Amino acid sequence: MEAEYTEMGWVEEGVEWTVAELAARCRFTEQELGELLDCGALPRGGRRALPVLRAAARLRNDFGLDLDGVALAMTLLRRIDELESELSRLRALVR
Amino acid sequence: MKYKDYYASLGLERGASDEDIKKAYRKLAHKYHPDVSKEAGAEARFKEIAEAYQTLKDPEKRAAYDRLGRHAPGEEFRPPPDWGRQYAGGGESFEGVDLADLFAELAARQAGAHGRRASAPIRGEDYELRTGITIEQAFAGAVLELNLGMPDYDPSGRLHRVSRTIKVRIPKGAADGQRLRLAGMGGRGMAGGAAGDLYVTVELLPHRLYRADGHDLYLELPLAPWEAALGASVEVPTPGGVVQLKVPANTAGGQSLRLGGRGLPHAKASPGDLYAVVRIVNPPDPSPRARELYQELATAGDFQPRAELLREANRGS
Repeated sequence: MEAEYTEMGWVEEGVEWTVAELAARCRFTEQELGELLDCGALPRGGRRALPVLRAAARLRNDFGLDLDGVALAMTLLRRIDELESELSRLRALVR
Repeated sequence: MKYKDYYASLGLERGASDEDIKKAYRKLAHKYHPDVSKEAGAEARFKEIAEAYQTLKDPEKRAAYDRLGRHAPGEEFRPPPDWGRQYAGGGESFEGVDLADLFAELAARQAGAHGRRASAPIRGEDYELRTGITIEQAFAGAVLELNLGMPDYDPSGRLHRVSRTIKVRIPKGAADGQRLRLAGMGGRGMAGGAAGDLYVTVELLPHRLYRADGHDLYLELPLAPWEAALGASVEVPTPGGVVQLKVPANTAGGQSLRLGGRGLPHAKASPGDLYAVVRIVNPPDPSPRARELYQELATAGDFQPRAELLREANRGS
């Protein structure tokens, strides 16, 4: 099979999505995203908002979470993300 | 079409109740969900569990599945006559059709029958995948061929898995966990909606020499005791080639010596650094002359390597 050839670029880590843009890219409505922003689970202009939201949408779908459960999952996912970055930094220092 | 035993996937008997199905799914999902599990193969196992649950939790889909009869997992089979007309919108050809896609189609028709099918344009789904690259590829850039199994509709409107190969240029300067976006390479949109995007997360594969932290690299640098004590000029490998590093006198074990800009390149900033972390190694089998010199060293001064250790220990007692 002939391979399709695609050029692509890095996803900007610091990019800020509007609520409408985020809603179009994950399975949350604009109103739900507003609530997640209000309770602090979704930081405004937060780094890597989209992958965390996608993971939260998967967890909501697969475990039937309500929005409070989603908010808690997002907070914990972000903590895991931070801890894994720190672990990776420390692992680089020691073999 | 290949048979899948959805009951076995959830560890259930055929006569399991709806409650049993839900409980079995929840238990397995907690163990294998790829967003919470670190077990090897969790993602594939969860996919199997979720696929089974999506069908068995729905009475109509479960009845349709049960009517397929019992077969060995992976066995090629044909649904009974009339099954296609009753459950799959007509047609008796199931060549190359995946069971999961067939039931997804059934769900879509159920939604349509209940008037929930949207006529407004729907953007196609975004897909995510991970790919491993070596530190050498991150340093120099690389072209990778990714093989994807993507859902697509055939001319009769039936969902099939289509194998697709995409050649992707990974720009130089990738760091672990960075994501690339291929616009329009995700799922097809519906009712005139735009296609989704494909996101590729790059993972750096373990390397026998370097460990990466962002764009910085770490390398273990063995030094002989006299090189560390007296200073030396030593050769150090870097992804861009071997360079000469000046080791200052009195270098201690565990100390990091920085080679500025010798780490991974960065798309928008200066390259990362390479840190050579010193490890002092003794000759494994010193000659009699070397032992004599060590003996001389032992009596030459009054160096107390554990003085600080003992002072701290005494302070605490």
